[in-house]
Order: sequence, then structure tokens, then C-alpha cells
Amino acid sequence: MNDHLKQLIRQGFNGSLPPDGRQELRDLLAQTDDAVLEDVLSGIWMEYEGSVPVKMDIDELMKGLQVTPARTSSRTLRLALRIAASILLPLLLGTSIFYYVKERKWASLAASTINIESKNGGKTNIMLPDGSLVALRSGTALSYPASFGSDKRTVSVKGEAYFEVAKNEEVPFYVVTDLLTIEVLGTTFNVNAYDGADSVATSLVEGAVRLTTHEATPRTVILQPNEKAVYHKTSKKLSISRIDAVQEAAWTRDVLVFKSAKFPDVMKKLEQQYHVTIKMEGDRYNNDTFTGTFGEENIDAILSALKLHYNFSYTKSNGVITVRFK
Amino acid sequence: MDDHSIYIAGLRNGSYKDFKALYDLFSGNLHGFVLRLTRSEEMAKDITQETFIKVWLYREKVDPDQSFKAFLFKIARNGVIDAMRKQWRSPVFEDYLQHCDELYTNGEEVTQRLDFDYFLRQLKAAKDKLTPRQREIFELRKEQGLSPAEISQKLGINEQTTYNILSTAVHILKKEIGPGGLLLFLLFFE
Repeated sequence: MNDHLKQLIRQGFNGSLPPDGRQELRDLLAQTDDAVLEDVLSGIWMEYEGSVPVKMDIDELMKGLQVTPARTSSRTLRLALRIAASILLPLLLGTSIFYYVKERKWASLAASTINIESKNGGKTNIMLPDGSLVALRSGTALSYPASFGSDKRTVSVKGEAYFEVAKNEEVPFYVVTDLLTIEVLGTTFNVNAYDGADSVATSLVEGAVRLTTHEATPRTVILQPNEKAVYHKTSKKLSISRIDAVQEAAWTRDVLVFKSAKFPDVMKKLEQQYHVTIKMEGDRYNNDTFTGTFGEENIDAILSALKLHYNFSYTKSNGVITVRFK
Repeated sequence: MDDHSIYIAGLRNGSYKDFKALYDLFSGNLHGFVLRLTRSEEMAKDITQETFIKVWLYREKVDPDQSFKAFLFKIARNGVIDAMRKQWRSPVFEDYLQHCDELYTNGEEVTQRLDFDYFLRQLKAAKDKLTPRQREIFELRKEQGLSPAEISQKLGINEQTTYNILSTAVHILKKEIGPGGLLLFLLFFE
């Protein structure tokens, strides 16, 4: 009896299911439990040798996961797994919110706007229907119309959010805040626009954005990477300064947790987290361990804290930090 | 042992390079498989992503003596089954399949497939051409799966009126997204 189901699924798979077979397949599927279906699908899968390339950046996707060579010490490995789990959790949360949003969108079209709020503590990662990734800082609200992506992509933000916008030059991406609108082309940036605040700040990590103020005579400015635009509501002043945009978005990174971590491993983790190179002169602390947690501090604050535990000095030039033990 | 067993040994030891090699070998295969089952690029991509994230996280559970392809299926199966069931339960999926039939009888290449997600977007845009009443009834029928009788009861109109409005709505939508309206964005299989 499963043979018939198998045949219908196979026809569907090959694109040769005749229209009158569809109702039959639908009915059969409703009566078939997962175990049987799994068996049929497994058979088709093992025989299927075709391939359709996936359009995605696997390195980018895996960036958040702990991808360093395995260590022999099982303690480090357990720690690595814990860190991986702590990263995966928000990732899965993000995915489930994404699914939830998609479900809702098609289930009830009464709701023409989708609202997402990142409440108390911690950040929320979401993926918009076009594949763009947004990290919302706690207390941030983001909304977009159900028609998102059809001819333009528009989201509104109250609070602080970090965007990695999927490239699509045909469908422009806009971030609307109370005071100004940001127009985007495939790019990564941070927006700080809290409700009721007197100013809105935009920091660009890569790509290009165009800001247009919500004034009677709107002003427009184009930002370059590592520039920050601050617009003040009362003074109407729009100023641009050079910044370290990666630093600006420090809050999007995960909290660093060390438990009896060897000093060189601590340095390695800092290198990954802050995209710097750390050179150590000497091996004095190679066997010392460190236990502690760092939140959203910048790397200087972390190194200063470590200097309280260990006796070293450091210098910084061109993204390379040299650590010298005393 | 087949030729990728060397990557499996590396993956078990936490080598990202070997993980990547397996990804390169199998991601298109899995993606193509789900795409054929669901006709949805979005679903296929989501499942491929999630599966490979799990491959990395569960890398120590990969059995070097068993087929990696079978292992992938074990990880992906729940997502695949859910996605397939979801598609076949959706009335919009049937509309999509009918629309495809019409495209092919209109002389489109049979090797080309219209992406389901694209159909949804087209449908959404086309719905703007409907009056609020037509739209409401169309959505109750197609997206919430109510029968014409249930719709009539819910809205307090007679059943024939529901049928009439529904058929006008479908007619308008077909004209809006019909052949010629969407020649772009065809998916190519292999």
C-alpha cells in the first residue's frame, strides 16, 4: 500500500505528477505517519544525485560558532561546546521568530504590520523575509509591513539595531527612524534611534548608506565605512565623525566567558572577537589560567582588566597588539 | 569506504576545513532535494542551513563507518517532512501547481520550474487589485481554508454571492499574474 504513496511522491519529486494525482497524494499524506514518510523520502534521497547550488555564505553563517581546531584538553572542549550552545540558542530563537513571523503573515492577513520587540536583557536576532539579519538590542522595537520586499524593503526602528542587509539592488532597503530615513545598498551598519531621544546615530561598518532627514527641506548625506553620522533634533545639526564602527557595534557580540582558560587561549578568543592580531613576546603565562566574564567592553578595557591579574604591558599599531611580559 | 571518509575523520576532530569540504560536496545535493519536494527556495535554503549548522555541532556523532549521506538525512528529516506536509496542506500550493500547469501548457520549457516563493510574492502584489470584499473572501477561502458555506455564514451573505465574488476574485488574480506576467525568476533544475 505504501508503494502507491511512494510512486506519487516520486512523481511529485520528478515533476511528473499529473493534476489528478495531486488530491490523491494530499489525502494519502494526511493519513501517513512520519515514520512511513521518512522511509519513502530516505529512499528517494539516497538515490538522488542531482544538485542545485545554495546561494549562501557558509563562512558567514558559521562565524558565530566556535570553529577552532580541537584541543586535546577535554575541559577546553566542554567550554567550547558550552559557548557553541550559547551562540546557537539565540540563533535558533532568531530562526523560530522568523518562522513565527512567516506563519503569522500568511495565517492572518488582518495584521498588515509585523512588530518585533526585544525585551528585557539580551539581544534578539531576527532574519527578515529577504534574508537580511538584524540584531536588536534589548528594549528595541522593529516593525515592517506584511508587504515587505515586494517592491521595497522598509523597516522602522525604535531603539538600537545592527543590520546586515542582503544585497538586492533592485529592491531598495530603507530604515525609518523618527528623525531620519536611511537608504541602504547591501551593507552592514548600526542604528541608534531610541524613542524620544534627541538624536539618532548611524555607524557604517561596510558598504554605503544615504541618510535623509525628516525636515521640511530634507538634507541628505552619504556615509563611508567607519563614519558615524549624528543628527540632533533640537539643534538640527548633522555631524559626521570618523570612528571604529566594529567597536561601535560591540553590543552585538556575545559575552565572553572564561573558566580556567589558559592565558594563550584567552588571547586567541580576543583575537577572534575583536578581529585583531595579538602577538605575545615570551611564554611566561602559558600555563596560567583565567576565570572571568567580559560584556560589551572594548578590547582596551579587557586588556587593562587582565593587566591587574598578569604583569604585562601592550602596544597597539595597525590592528596588531603586542603583549610584553615584565 | 568512499572518498570523503578522510573529511569525516577531520570533521570529528573539529576541522572546519573538512567540514567545508563536506559542505561543498553535499549542500547542493540536499538543497536540490528539498527544492524538488517543496518547490520553495526559502524552505530549501533554511533546511540546508540548519542541517549543516547541526552537522557542525554534532560532529562528534558522525559515524565514519556509515554513509555521510544517510547521516545528513537523519539530521534533516524532521524539517523536510514538516516542510513537505506544510506545502501539501496549503491551498495556495495547489493554486501554485495549477498555475504551473497553465504555464507549461502555454509553451514554457518543462525543465524549468517556477519558484513557489515567487508565486506567493506575485499573488500578494496581485491582491492589491481586488476590492476589500473580494480580497477578504479570497483570503478566507485560500489562506484560512474556510469552505464557501462557512464564509457565507461568517459574513452573513448568501452562498451564491460568496461563489460569485470568489470567482471574480480568482479571475482578476489570474489575469494579473497569468502567463506573460511572470516570465522571470524561473528556477533551473540541474
